[in-house]
Amino acid sequence: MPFNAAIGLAISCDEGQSFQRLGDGPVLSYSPDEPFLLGSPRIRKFNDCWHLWYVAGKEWLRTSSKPEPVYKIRMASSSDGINWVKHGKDLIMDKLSQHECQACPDVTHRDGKYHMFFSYRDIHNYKSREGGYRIGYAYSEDMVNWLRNDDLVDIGLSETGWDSEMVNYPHVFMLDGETYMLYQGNEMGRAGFGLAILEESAEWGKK
Amino acid sequence: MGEEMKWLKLGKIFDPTEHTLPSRCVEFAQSPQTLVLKDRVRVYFSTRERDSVGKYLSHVAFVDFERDMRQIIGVSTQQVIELGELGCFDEHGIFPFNVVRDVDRILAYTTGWNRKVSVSADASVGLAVSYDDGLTFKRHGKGPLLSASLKEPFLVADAFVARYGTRYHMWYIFGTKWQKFTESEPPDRVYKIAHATSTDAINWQRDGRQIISDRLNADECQALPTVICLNGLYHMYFCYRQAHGFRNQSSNAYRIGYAYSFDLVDWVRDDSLAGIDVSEEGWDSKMQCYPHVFFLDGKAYMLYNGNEFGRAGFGLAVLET
Repeated sequence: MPFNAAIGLAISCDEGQSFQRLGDGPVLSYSPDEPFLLGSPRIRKFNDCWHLWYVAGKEWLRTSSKPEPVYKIRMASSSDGINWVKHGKDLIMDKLSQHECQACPDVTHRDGKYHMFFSYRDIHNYKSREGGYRIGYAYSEDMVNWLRNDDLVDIGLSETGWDSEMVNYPHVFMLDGETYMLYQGNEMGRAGFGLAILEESAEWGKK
Repeated sequence: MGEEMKWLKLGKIFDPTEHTLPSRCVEFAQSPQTLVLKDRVRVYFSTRERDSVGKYLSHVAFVDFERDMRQIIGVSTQQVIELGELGCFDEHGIFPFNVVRDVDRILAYTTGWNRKVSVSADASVGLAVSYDDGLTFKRHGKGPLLSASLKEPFLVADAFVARYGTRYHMWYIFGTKWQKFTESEPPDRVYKIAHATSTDAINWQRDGRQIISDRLNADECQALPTVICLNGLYHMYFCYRQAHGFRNQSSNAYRIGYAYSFDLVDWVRDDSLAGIDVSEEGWDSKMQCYPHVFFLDGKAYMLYNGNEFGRAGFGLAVLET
């Protein structure tokens, strides 16, 4: 296996300029149904409780070239940010195939619902324009049951340029009354990242 | 306290090279651990196969003894448990293997090994279950039961589980550091004994600290804790060694250590009370390691490995009364 990953915790006391690890080991690691590749942690606090959305590896597939991992979005909760209880289920239904790789679950709460922007791709041909990462979307009333509808996010590839082959790893945030999305483009953000602004102000999750 | 428990050595009782073992395994019979059955004593151990690049893979096998622990009935003829799948924590070996009877099934706490790059390997504790009286085991999930955590960064291994009162207790080890002691040699590991409890044998709460004090130095390596309750006291046997130069120098190699506890919370270490040591000469003269204590027909026994970490087999000792 060429690589592995787990989730750690670091703390900053200088407004985010520098961080110190809380321990040498991970704060979230493997378990019986999450055997390897824990990553993409995104932490949120809703109703006085910490929620961590992350990605867990399911299997390594032998392909005609090198082994490829398959990973899905999952969630864990905590009262102190240190001791976590895993929810133990894949949250987002597959769209492309059972081998769809999902990454970067970015959740916000708005208009009475939870909204998740994430990235997804298949395991074959993902370095090309055809099979590269796209940004997906799902919403939920309870953080646990999610309805996926990628058409609602409406941020596709540009015709040409830095985000013409793939768009991925979205991060949605509010600033001075506007809603923005930061995201990466071609070659997994090799050349940097870009910004988008939400045009419509209609209620999210409705079409 | 202060009464030494003395162990009478009964000699080496199993040599893996005298048997045909599954999975093309030829040498090593490490960390012998027992399952006492009605008509036999099943001793599980880890043995080794060489893979296509010449590196070792540890496989679990067993040897059945008559209940007198003298006569060998036979060895396992099929694989006891498969190695982990591609990318999993136990892809490159399982060693050791601790079994516990749980009503109508047998639980096995495994230590799975996976090769790494900057250091040689990592390990985590897994769980497997047998419904055929310990002939074969299936994993409880592809991933580990107990893996690295904030204060236990790697090498979570050597789980030994027993039930006392309403709780399951697990003694295990965790790695504290990897260190290069010399320029030319690969890094050496350091690990310490720890403790966790559970109400269901599956979800564990770790104490989060080293429970057996160091005797050699701060880099002392402690492994394979095994615990019995006797005369109202809890007794732990384990092995310990120096972090470096422990393969070839007998003075740095594994010896059996000992600690006792009244309450399973605080342990007092006193190796002078272990009651067993290396022999003057022979198969257990250069090191003594991987102890396992168990009760059989009213007596307490210890299985253990000798020279070369059990390359040539394991031996037995009985507690003198």
